[in-house]
This record gives sequence, C-alpha cells and structure tokens, in this order.
Amino acid sequence: MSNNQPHQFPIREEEAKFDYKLFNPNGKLSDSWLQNQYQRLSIESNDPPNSRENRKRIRAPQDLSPTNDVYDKESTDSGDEMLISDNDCNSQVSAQSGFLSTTISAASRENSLAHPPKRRLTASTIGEIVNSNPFHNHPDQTTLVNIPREMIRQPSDHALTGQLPRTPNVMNSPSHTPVSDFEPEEEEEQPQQLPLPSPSASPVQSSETKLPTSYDTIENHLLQLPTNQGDLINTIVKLSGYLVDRNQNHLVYRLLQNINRSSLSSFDGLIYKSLKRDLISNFPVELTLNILSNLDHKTLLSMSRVCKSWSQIINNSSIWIDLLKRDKFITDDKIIHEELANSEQLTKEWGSRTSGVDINAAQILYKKRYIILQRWMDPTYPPKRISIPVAGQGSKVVTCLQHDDDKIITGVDDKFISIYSTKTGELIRVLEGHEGGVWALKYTGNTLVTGSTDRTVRIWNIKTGKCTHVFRGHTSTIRCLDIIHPTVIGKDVNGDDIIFPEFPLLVTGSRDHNINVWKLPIASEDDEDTDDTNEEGRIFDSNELDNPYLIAVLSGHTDSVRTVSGFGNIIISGSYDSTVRVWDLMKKGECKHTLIGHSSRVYSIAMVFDTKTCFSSSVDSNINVWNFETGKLLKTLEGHSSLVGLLNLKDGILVSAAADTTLRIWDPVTGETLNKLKGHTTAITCFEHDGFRVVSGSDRMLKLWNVKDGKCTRQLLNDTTVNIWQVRIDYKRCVAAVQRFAEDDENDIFIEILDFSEPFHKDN
Amino acid sequence: MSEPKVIMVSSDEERFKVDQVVAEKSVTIKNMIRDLNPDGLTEDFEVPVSTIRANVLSKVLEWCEHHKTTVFPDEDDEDAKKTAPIEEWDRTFFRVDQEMLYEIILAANFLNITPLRDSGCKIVAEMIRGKSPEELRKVFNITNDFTAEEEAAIRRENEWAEDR
Repeated sequence: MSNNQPHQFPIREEEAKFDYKLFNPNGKLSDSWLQNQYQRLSIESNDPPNSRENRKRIRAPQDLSPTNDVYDKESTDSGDEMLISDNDCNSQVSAQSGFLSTTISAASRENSLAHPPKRRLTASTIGEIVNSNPFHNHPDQTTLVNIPREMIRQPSDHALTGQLPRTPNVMNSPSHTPVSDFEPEEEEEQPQQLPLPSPSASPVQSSETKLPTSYDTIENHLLQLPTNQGDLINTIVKLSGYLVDRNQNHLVYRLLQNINRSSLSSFDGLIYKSLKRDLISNFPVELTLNILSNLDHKTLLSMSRVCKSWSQIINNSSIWIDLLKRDKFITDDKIIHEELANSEQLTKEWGSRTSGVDINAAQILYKKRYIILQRWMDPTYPPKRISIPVAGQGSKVVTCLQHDDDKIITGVDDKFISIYSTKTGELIRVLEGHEGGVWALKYTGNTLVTGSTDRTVRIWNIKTGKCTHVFRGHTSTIRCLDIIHPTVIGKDVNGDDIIFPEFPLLVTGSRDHNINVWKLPIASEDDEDTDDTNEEGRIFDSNELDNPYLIAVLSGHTDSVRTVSGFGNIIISGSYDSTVRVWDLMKKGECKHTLIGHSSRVYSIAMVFDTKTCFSSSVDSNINVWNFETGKLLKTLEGHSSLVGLLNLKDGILVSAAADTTLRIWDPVTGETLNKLKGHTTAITCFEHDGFRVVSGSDRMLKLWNVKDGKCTRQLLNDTTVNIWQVRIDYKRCVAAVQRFAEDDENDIFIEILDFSEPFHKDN
Repeated sequence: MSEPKVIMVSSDEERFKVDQVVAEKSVTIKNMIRDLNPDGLTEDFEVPVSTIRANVLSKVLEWCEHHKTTVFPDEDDEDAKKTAPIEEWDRTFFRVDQEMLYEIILAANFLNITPLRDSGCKIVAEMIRGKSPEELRKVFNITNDFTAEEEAAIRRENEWAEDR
C-alpha cells in the first residue's frame, strides 16, 4: 500500500489478539456431547411421536429401513412444498426431519465409501477454520441442499430467511474441515445422492462405536453440495456452529480480514448500535448511585421519564437526600430526618396529585426546597406577609432578634424582651426583669440568655417565661454574648474523640473590658411544669464572688469588648482597643494571642475552627485574616471604604457589610472578592446570608441578593418609609425589625414576617 | 535481578505480566498480595481474574500503567472526588463502545480501583447530563414502556423543575 493511501482491507494486516485469536487449533470434537445436543434438537423441531422415531433412527440407523421409503417418497414428491413451507407446520417439519435422518445416513454411506468419516474429520491440520456468528439454521435447510437443482423453484430466498436457529449457540467441538476439499468432491457426488435410501450404510457407522452420528451431522453438511449462494452461506454458518466460542470469534475475524473499507464501514454502524446497552439498569446498584451522584435534579427528572425501570431507580430517597446536601438545601442529616418524619403532610402539601405516580418523600422535600428558593428569587412572587406592631411608647430600637419555626424573640432597648409566634405573629409573652435596655440575646433549646445595660446577665425558661438565673459581675453594659456547645475538637493519643467543653458555656463581653465565662444552666425542655412553678420567684441571683456558675474572667482588653465568638476550647474577642484576642479554655482561659493589626475599633469577628482561621472587621475599613493558632496575620482583605460593621461566614462564603453602603462576598480561603453588592444608599445596618441569598437592610431598603452572581434580585419590602434594624432569614422566611415613619411623626416599630413557603397545593 | 512481577490471568486465559505497582492500583490485588506475602514478593505472583476478559483487562491495566504514579484525592473526601473534573487522558481512554465501558467499570469495581470506577461513572453521567428522555433512549437504545397517559402524568409531576 502506498504511504498515504488508506488500506483497502484495513484488518488484513492487523494481528489477531486476545479474544479473537485462534484458540487451540488442534482441539478435538467433543463427540458425545455433540451427539446429545443434536438429538435434543431433533426432538425440539418435531412433534412427539415423530421425534421419538427420529431419535431412534439417529441412535440406531438400522431401524430406518422399514420407513425409509415412505420418507423418501414424501420428501422427493413434496420437495417444492418443503421449500416454501413454514417451520411451524408440524407435519411437514417432521416429514422433513425424517427425510433429514434418512439423507444423513445416505450421505454418510456415500461418503464413507470414498472417505472414511473419522479420518476426514480429524486428520485435517491445515487449519482452515470454518466459523461464523452463532446463528444456526434449521436442519431442514441442509436437507434441501440434497434436492437436485431442477426441483428447486425458489433457490435461496427461503433458505436465507425465516428460519429460526435450532441449534444452541455453544457447540463444543472445533472442526477442522478443509472447505476447499469438500466442494468439488460433493459436486461430483451430488447427482447420485438423492435417489438412494440405502439402509446398508447404517451398519458401517454403528460399527464405528458411538461417534458416527455426530460425525455424521458434520460430515453430512460437508457432503451436501451448496447449489446457490444462500445454501453455501447456510452451510458455512451451520458448520461454524461446531466451533467453540473463541474460535467463532476467530472465524469472524478471518472473514473481516477479507472485507474492504466500505463494507467494514457498513458494519460499523450495526456493531456500534448493537453494543449500546442500558448502563443505568444493568449496573449493580452502588455503581448506578455513583453515576447518579454526578447529576443534577433536572437530568434526574428527565431520566425518570425514559422508561419504567429508570423511573423506579430515580424514585429512590437516597439519591434525593444526597442531592439535598449537594445543592446545600439541607446539609444536616438530622434536619433532613426531621423533615422527612412528617412525610404525610409533606406529600399532602407538596407531593404528587396524579394517581399512580408515587414519589418518595425525599424527592418531594427536594421539590419543596427548590420551589421555595425559586420564589425568593422571583421578584413577582408575593410572600405571605405578617406585620406585627411592637407595643410600647416612645422611640425604641430593636437591638437583637433570633427566630425559629415557632417563635421570634426580640430584645429592645427599653428593657423588655418579647416573644412572638412565627406562624401567626401573635405576641406570646413579654419577659420582664431587666432594669435597662437589652443589647444582646441568644437562645438554645428552651434556654434564653440576655445581657443588658443593667450589667446583669439573665437566664430564662422560654416556655414558662420565667427568669431562672441572674448573673452579676460585669461592671458595665453587656454588649455581646455567645454560647459554646460541647463539641469534638480533636482526637487523643488513643484515637478517641476529645469533647470540649463538658457542658454548655456562656461567654459574655462587656464594656467593662472583661469577658466572663459561665456554666450555662439549661432550662428543661418540658412544658410548663417544672419544679419551680410552685416556688414562684425563686431566682438564682448571686454576685460574682460567690457564683458557682462563673468559670473564668478573661481580662486583657483595654476597652469595650464589642464582639465575642466561641467554639470548642477557643474564644475570640474583638474590642474597641483595636485588638483581637484569642483565649484558650483548656488552659484555664489564658490569652493565647493578642492579634494586633487593626488601626481602629474592631466590630465583628468570624472564625473557622477547623482551619484555625479567624476574620476580624474594623472601623479601619479592613478585614484581617488570622491564624488563631499561631497568631499570625495571614491577609488583609481590602476594598471597603469605611467601617466594616458586620461579618458572617457560612457554607464556605464570607460576607461583609460596611458603612460605605456596600456588601462584599469573599472567598474565605483565597481572600478574593467574589462579588460586590451595590445598591444601598446608606450604611448597612444588618444582613444575613445562607449560601444562596443575602438579605441586607439599610435606611428605607431591604434587599435580596443572589450569592451566585451578586445581583440584587428584589426589594423585599416595598415601603420606602421604613428603616431596617434587624433582619434574620431561614430557608423559607425573612424576619425583620423595622421602623416605620407614620404620618403623625410617631415612629412605630414593626416585626415583619415574609413567608415564602405556602404549600404547593393551595387548597390544603 | 529484576523485581518480581504480577501476572494477571483473564477469563480467556490471556496472561498479563505487569509491575507490582501497576497491579496494586487495584486494592483487591494489593490486599491479596499483602495477605499472602507479608514479607513482600520474592517471585512472580499469579492472580486469576476469572471475571474479566482479556480485552477489558488489557484496558484496565493500560489505565493502571498510566496512573501508576498519580496521586488521587483523598478517598474519604466525597466533595473533592465529586468536583474533580475528568482528566483529559481518562476521557480519551474511555472513548470505547458501551459494552467495553460497562465492563471496564464493572472490572474497576470488582478490582476496587476507585479512581477508575469513579472516572467511568462520571463518563456515563456525562452521556446522560442535560439530555431529554427521547435523547436518552437513543443513547442507550431503550424502549419507552410508558403509555402516553403515564408519560404525560410524570411530565406534569416534573413541571416544577422546568425553566420558566
């Protein structure tokens, strides 16, 4: 072949490899096996009485004699019909089969005269291996070969089509038949074959022990002369059935070698298509789940429409739980289980309304979360809104707010703490006790902690509304506080978890420059009736010196402590003295590092315990990134142009809000600015984010931003008469404390609840 | 003296002689070698892999050979595994017919070659991602066994996810 010219027969020079190599060219025929198989086939293709007869004949050919004439007569007489006849016509099939048996014997006899069968079949070592795909033809076809040409009206059509394979795919005997050998021989012998039902052949074979019949069949194929293209192909295909699987591959390979490019191309499409398979249903389930764990919800839903088995595979809660986590809708297994626990209501409100379509609860939960997120981002969707006027007189400021599904707790600078129902907006209770404005609050479970300008910390039972403890000790306003829960902070030498602290701790920061650490008394979760109900007013109230709950006083800051954050054994505090301090509770609260870098008051901090990183924001308009383990300043995030009052890090995203009217989204690892949120016109007073959304408030604006692109999606409150004091969000709600300027110049404060979670099926 | 080799024998009795480091990309084989030779290999080690045919085994070993020095992301870090893109070499490697793809992934699973298995699963995922039901049926030669009503019902149920 010339250098650039493609080979005409591309495979011809390819070396055979692996599974299409010639396998054991000297392999012997497995006679007895073949014989059995062949018998069984004869039975299959006949109705019972005749088949029994046939079998007998094959086993003992000499029995043929009495019936030979009948079969021969029939076969010769009706040769035409046999060609045209269909296989499912039993009588004719049986007749043909009978004829086959006869001609086998006949042919064998003929042949054995010239070539003793055994020698012919086994002596060949030339290695021309006859093979083909495992498609076999009915014995009838071979039989027909014996009919002289003049008797055949429709030579090849019938032989090529419509015949079902009757021989099994696996034939365990490699045959080595020199094809070139038999053709001319048979051609010569052919004319003599037909007329001759000759029982005398039988004894020859039966005397050759048990082999003959199997050899008979092969030999018979060899002796029957193909008279046309179709017959020749049938013979080749039929013979190939006597090869072991691997040699069948080899035969195909050999045939392909003789195929030119364009012919190969025409097979290519066929082969490609036939190798397609249902990769989803066929894999073991763990592999299918592995594949599906790479796909988004739209693709999964598309898959569920492909066919029934795919639909079933997709309707599997573990796939959707995995997706809920991957898409960060719910990352906490506990919450997923809680949500799924009430699957009946979930299904009723969000599930299928089509009879016969039964969708698992996790998929419905995903749908619910997805739709709610879409609603947030759709400026035309009106959330359900509840406005709660905050009782009281005069100008007040809502200083702190925390909420969950049931309640909203607010602290106001007028010394009252209010608890509202999140669902109805109803004022459930007002907690009285503080003698000054409440500036910090936090609750966990049924335990609420508040800090006030009256220098006390109070612990409340939320359900009973009672103050259970008053902690004294700070000598000025409590400005910030945090609760530290017991958590795994590492492994000890034995590989066991180290849990710290042993019990929940309360950390309070004050204008007196100190941070106090207290053991947090946890209020019972039980409703109402606890021991102290009948001992009304029994409040633990103690000074610092004799308070058994006080664990440590962390002193060091030289100005007000503005912000404090704790996790495990580490407390990080930011102060108006421009420093950030790191305290280690495992070392009795010693100050591990004083982080110096800011040039002005520190307002907010955020920490990532696992990576030993913390972030601090300051009046100096910078955000500093520290390693709190080494005390090193890692980076300074620059960009804001004035006081960065608020920082929040969640789901791997850091958001900062500043007095320069902007918010910024940062990659906490690289320190890169991901997006600048521009749109407010005054300093940002409050914000919260959850990985998808940022909601931020300033004078007269409450805006929703998309974390992905940093675009302002919508204004959540349209009244331009509103100042926003506080805002909190969860996946389905936005809760804001706002100040509205009424017409009579009276300032009114409202708690606004925006709910995006109206059930999908509204009639419920 | 050359290092002892590992000889893997396919279902069709083809023998593949490879370096130990290549064979040990399979955790299954690595463990087998370690359990049977606590002091290390002193002579060639023969492993019959009777569920894998030679053509497939040859592909798998080609992958192992190429990646014998590759350091893969942490086994336990699901996120890192998910987000890692398919390597260009792997993408070319997997340009095979679906039967071969199927058998390679099964073999990787059987031999416990996690990165190969995951890479193959990602390839299958790419064949699926973003396709319509009709396109998927074509790709995998699947017959739609839903009645028109059933299909319409499922479609209605899925409408929430469609682009508006």
